[in-house]
Amino acid sequence: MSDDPKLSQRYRDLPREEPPRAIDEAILAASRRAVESRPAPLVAPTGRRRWYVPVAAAAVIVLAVAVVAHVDREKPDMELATSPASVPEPSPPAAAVEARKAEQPKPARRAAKSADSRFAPDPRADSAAPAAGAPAAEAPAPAAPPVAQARRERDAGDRPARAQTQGASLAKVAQSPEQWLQRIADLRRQGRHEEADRELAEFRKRYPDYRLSDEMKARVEKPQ
Amino acid sequence: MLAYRDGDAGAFETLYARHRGALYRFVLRSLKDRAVAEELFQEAWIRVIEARERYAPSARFSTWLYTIAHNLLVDHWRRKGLVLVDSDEEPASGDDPARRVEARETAARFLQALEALPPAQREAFLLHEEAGLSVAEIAAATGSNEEAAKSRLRYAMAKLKAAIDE
Repeated sequence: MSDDPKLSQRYRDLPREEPPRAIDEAILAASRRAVESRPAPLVAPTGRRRWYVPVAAAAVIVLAVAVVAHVDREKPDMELATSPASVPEPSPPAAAVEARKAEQPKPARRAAKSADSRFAPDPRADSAAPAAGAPAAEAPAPAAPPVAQARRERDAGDRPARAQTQGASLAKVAQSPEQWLQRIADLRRQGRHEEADRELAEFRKRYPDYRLSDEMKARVEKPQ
Repeated sequence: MLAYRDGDAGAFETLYARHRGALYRFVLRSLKDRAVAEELFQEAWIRVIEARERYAPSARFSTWLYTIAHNLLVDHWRRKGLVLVDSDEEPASGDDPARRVEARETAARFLQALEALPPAQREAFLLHEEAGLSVAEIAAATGSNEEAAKSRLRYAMAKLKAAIDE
């Protein structure tokens, strides 16, 4: 349908009637009231606002996944912490080392050091008695040597003592003399005299110079 | 309109400013009664406001707006006992040959010729010239088919052209 420009112009020349201002005001007021009284419908916005919805949805999903993952990570740790069976037992050498560190007194330091170096040559023994090193090593442990030889053997006695106590438990070897004595005293108290005697004999071989107090003697030695 | 549907009151003000004049003139020149025209004009915008949540952009806003206006006009004519017949042969109301001769050389001649058109033809012409609707959109707004809309528009333009060429 082709337009007639002349006709259109004639129409445009007619008076341009406009609605009265009062009607404009009434209509605009009604439009504002309608928006204020009824909120926007719950439909997906379109146009420029369209990206709000997917971005918001993606943000919610990411947050939810992060929370779930965090809870899953925390759960095994929580279960592990609360289960008594899952608590690992401290290894005896480590426990003994810890106990030694806590209770090691000065006089027993040398003996403890020797105990620690059960499988390693004692530098002091080697350096203190280089001449007697060979004969000391060859001397039989159970035999009762002369005084000089006993002294040499004592200085180098860590090696045969070490050899003798090789069969002892790690706990005994790693513990301090005071702990060992306490263990012997416990055995005495429990009436396990044979074990206590054995332990005391080993203790005396290991720490021949260790002086027991009267009180400790009463606790570890067999009652008469 | 979508912005207004989503709660933007300012969007309606923009929409109203864009279409208020053309719609007012359409209604006014369709009825020739200013008071009734103002009443129907306001009612058309109220219906736009109330139907905003149902608005779906399947057609231009203009088409939707003038569909509302057309329906209001039909209701008005029905109440008045008049029917908007689909005939280009219907004699125009208020056609006074004497008056036409008197207003031959003035702009009023055109207005008179417009007022003398059958309502359906006048409506087609006003929707085309005032609202800028295409034939298809005129058909959609008036609830008719494109052939009928094209015929009404063609007859209207021919009569108006003949009136201004006299």
